[in-house]
Amino acid sequence: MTNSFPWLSLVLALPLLGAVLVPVLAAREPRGARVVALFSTGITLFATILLALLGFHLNGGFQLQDQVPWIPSLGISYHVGVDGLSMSMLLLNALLVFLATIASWKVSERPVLYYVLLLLLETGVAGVFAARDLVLFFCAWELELIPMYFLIAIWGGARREYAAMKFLLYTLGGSALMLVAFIAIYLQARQNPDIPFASDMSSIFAFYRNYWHSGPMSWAEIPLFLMLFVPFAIKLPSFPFHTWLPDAHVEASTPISVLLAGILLKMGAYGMIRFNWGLFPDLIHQIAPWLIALGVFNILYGAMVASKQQDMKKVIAYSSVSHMGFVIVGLAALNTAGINGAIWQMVSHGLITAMLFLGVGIVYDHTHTRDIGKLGGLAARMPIAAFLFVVAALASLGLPGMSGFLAEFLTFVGAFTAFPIAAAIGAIGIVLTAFYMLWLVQRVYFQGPRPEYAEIGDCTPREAFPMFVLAILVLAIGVYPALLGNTVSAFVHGFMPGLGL
Amino acid sequence: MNTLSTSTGFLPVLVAAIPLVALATAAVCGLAYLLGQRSERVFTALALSGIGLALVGAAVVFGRALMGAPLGGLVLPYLSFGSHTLSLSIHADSLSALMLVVVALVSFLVQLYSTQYMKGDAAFGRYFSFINLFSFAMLSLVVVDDLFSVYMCWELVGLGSYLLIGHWYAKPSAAQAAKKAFVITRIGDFGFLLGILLLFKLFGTLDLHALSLAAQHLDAAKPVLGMAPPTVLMVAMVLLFWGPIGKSAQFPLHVWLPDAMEGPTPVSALIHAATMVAAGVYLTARTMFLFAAAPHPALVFVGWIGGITALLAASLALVQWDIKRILAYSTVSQLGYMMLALGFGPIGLAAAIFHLFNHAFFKALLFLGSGSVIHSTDTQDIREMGGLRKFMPWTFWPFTLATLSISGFPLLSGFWSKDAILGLAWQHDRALWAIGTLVAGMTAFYMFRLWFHTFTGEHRGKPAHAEGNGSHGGHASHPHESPWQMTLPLVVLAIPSVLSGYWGTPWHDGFASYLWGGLAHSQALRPVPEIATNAVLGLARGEWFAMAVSTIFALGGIALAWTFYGRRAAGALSEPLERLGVVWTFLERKAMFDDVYAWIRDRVYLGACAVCSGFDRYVVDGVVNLVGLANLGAGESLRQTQSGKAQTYLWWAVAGTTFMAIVLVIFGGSLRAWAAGALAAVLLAGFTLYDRLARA
Repeated sequence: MTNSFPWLSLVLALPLLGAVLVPVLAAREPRGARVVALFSTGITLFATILLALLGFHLNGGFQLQDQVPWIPSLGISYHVGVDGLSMSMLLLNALLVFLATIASWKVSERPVLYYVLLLLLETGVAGVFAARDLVLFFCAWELELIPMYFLIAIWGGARREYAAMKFLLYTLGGSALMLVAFIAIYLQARQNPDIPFASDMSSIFAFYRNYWHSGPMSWAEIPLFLMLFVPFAIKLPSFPFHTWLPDAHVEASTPISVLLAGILLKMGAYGMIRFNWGLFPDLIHQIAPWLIALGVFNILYGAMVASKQQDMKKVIAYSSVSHMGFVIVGLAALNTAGINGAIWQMVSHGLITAMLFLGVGIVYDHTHTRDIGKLGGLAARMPIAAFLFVVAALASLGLPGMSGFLAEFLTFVGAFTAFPIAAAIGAIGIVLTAFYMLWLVQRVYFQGPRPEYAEIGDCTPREAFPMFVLAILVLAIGVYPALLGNTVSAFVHGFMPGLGL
Repeated sequence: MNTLSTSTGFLPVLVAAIPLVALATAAVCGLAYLLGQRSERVFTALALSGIGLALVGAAVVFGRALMGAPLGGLVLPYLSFGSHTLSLSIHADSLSALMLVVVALVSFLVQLYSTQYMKGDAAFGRYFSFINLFSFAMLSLVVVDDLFSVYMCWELVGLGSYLLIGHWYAKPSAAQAAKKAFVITRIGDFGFLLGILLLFKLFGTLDLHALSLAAQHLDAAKPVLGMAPPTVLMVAMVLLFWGPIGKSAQFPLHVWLPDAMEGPTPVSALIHAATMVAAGVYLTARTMFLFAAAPHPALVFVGWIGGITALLAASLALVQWDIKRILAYSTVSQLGYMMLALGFGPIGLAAAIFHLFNHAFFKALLFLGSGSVIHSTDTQDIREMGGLRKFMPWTFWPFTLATLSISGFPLLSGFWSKDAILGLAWQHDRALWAIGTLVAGMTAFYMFRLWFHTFTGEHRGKPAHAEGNGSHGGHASHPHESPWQMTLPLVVLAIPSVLSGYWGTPWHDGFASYLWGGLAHSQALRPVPEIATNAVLGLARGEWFAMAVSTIFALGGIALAWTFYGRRAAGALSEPLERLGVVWTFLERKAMFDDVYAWIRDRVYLGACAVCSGFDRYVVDGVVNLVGLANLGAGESLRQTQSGKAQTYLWWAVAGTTFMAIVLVIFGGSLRAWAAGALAAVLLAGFTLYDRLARA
């Protein structure tokens, strides 16, 4: 069950180690914390890439598994493992935290605490993606929450307390439901003597796949589904649970926004795939039309609300609502193309939206405003920053040759095969996205240069670097899709039988 | 999935390499520009050698196609999902080869011209990077062989257009026009995408060869949404045709093209006259076998969109004063002609592509000529020009030939292809024939209105700065001839403007046999070659009556223009058309299209957005805050700003744990308290850590 050396656990522990080292090494010189943090996140990224390249086999299902009994009397174990989906998410997490560390270079307020929290956040998120045990998953889910709360509440903008509390309450409310559902699932599985570890996800999924037809608990299927769907829908975020996101983004600092949109939202999509789709395959087939409708609604609603925002960050935040709607649509298509598209969209949105928030951060740092009405003509003053932002905007509106296009195309192929009318309505999103994204670009970067920004300079190499890396990745995946496609396709291939497809 | 075996000879590789050369040029120019290179000579050398190389390659391919050799193709797997593979397949036939050489030639001449036209522009290098990026996309578009690849290239072509229209982005009108062009064409692409998806659902493939096979066995396909396969195919083709409606600026999505004239004039010549806007015609021709296999209304739709567009745009061109906008509407109108011909099905294909071919040359010439005039006079308003024949002979003579050619003056190239279309219309649809003939007269009229205003009479110029790049300032008071880099392309383009029509005359129909000969090789139009053996497929032969009538209309249009604008006293600028009164005003307001669309955008769409936004803020979030406030006792905790951080969190941790413990009790067994304990431990550990660090 456990391979010879716990490589995965080691990689997962690296940011935790960093979190311990930061206060130790930077005790005398708080400014040194960023160097330690950069090394920690850099090594984590490097190790994650190595793990993916050397230790990971495309068609191997769950692998690199480490399992150690934790509370044996309760059948709870420390169990981690990765498949294609988890591995992609771990890479995205490691990359974005590394880039966020670079983007956090100028943090001067309580840097030690800041970087410790950042590294704890990375650990928690990685734990969510790697956990193969319900209790471990839940702990990791909560572990992510605490650092994020403080990262918003301490380093955020004017209304940071409100935004952080909103984020916290929302997620905790979801967590409460999730915990209840987990316990119910656990208790039921525990009654089956064939399952040695009743909280082990692999065992549970195998158990429940055949359970709903006959089991005495089938009445509970819908409430259980909802108790698991709502927390993930909050995280995704999906209407009507999305309003924490614009507030959190507006108040969070740039690197935190990058992580929030880039990786934390993916936890919601990840949870849906694992639990809602993994545990309730029959129910999913029945409610797929409703899910498609929800996804399409998110796409259009997010885009329309984004079109009326005046704060650059809110535009991007609502674009996330819209773009994460594609994930629901793709998943609910319940076919290969759709699920491939959904996972493509998770990765792609992570990269692209991170770029967009980094771009907004540069604008804010140089002009001290994100108000679209006050901005204009920045391309003349900051051509490199404008170039990178335009690349991100074009990627976001699904231009071919970049990752977002394939994500959307696959999603549409899948959704259209299953639900043509709904998919056609959702495809209006490609027009709406172009409308608000190009409007944003036009208002902020183009048109006449404004005198009040005559003095601002272009972005520094340190500011440009994270966006540049992301741009290269977005293009590389778009031009040579096998980079991502092989992993995703292999995962979906293994995932489909569980859905009865 | 692909039914055609892939040949890996020299030619397919060459075909694939041609666009890549342009891409490499774009990348090198772009990189050099980003790295701070500003030398115009460097970019000139890079761009001209890149596109020159592509032109040589295109010429070789075209030469082989002329010899009737099959050109073959390549298939590159792109992305697999499940049992499907999206591939980038490349395949060249006579149609591709023709398009390749037109695109490469016009692109080369336009870039040569641009080296002077854009002289002194701060973003000289970026301009050449983007124009080669566009060339890459356009050259790719004409050689790819499945609808997925076509859609990709299609969007990239739109990107090139967006970037180049917005070249002078600091000008609000240019930034606005760029966005408008992208968004309006995206509306068309929405239909295109749905058409593609529907075809994929119907046939399970997007490969054109596979589609051509599948279309022959239409009855074997499964119904979609309760519609029989032929109906589905018809719906799919009507949806797909919205792509061409957008890109080729057809009614009702034509509104972006006149605004696109905000871009530099050479860009207008390349993208908005000769190549990109022709992409819609090309795609319709390329998928003709599907249109032909679908029930008839699909083709009627194509033909009538073309007819309406031709008439509408010609009417709008009558009243414009901006030289580039007249040419823009003229382009829309001529593209409508091509669509009109395609509406007749496979028999109209050769005529439509023949007109595309001829039009590319004389319209590029007209745009480049107008650029030369603008460069010289610093205005785009034809009322401020006049008498330029004296000052700019090298611009004047080619421009005159192109004007005659587009007007359908007998024996010039435009005459032959226009009459091929009108001859077909005479045979198949008299209503469209009447429209086409009327438009021929209107075309001659507005082109000569432009010509008389610009080149005859006395010069009425003022030292104004029309194109806002600021690079043309400081000219002498007299207009002057442009440098050779700008006039040479005009002279070169004048040759095909006169002669290219002789490839397809009623007594020697070389064009149709070239096109159909090659298409028969490629199998891409599989259902069609059965008709192709029939001579009817060629250009309409011997419709002497239709030809005579359209010639009378053309000459009549020229004569009328002469009466109105050529004969009058020098300097007199009355506009006889203003006597049309309310019609004039209506046309001058672009037939209200922009007003109506702006109303839809601002009142309907953005109004709905505002409703959504308000709903989101006050209803969705309002409920959230209400719940929050109720729970936290009049909202004190939510509003706590400084003191309550850790305490509040701790309170929530404890409260949450308690809540969960209660839930556990409900669900049974005391053992579960362990789980609650574990949760509490995690929360407390987090809190403790924060507390320690906060004090440190």
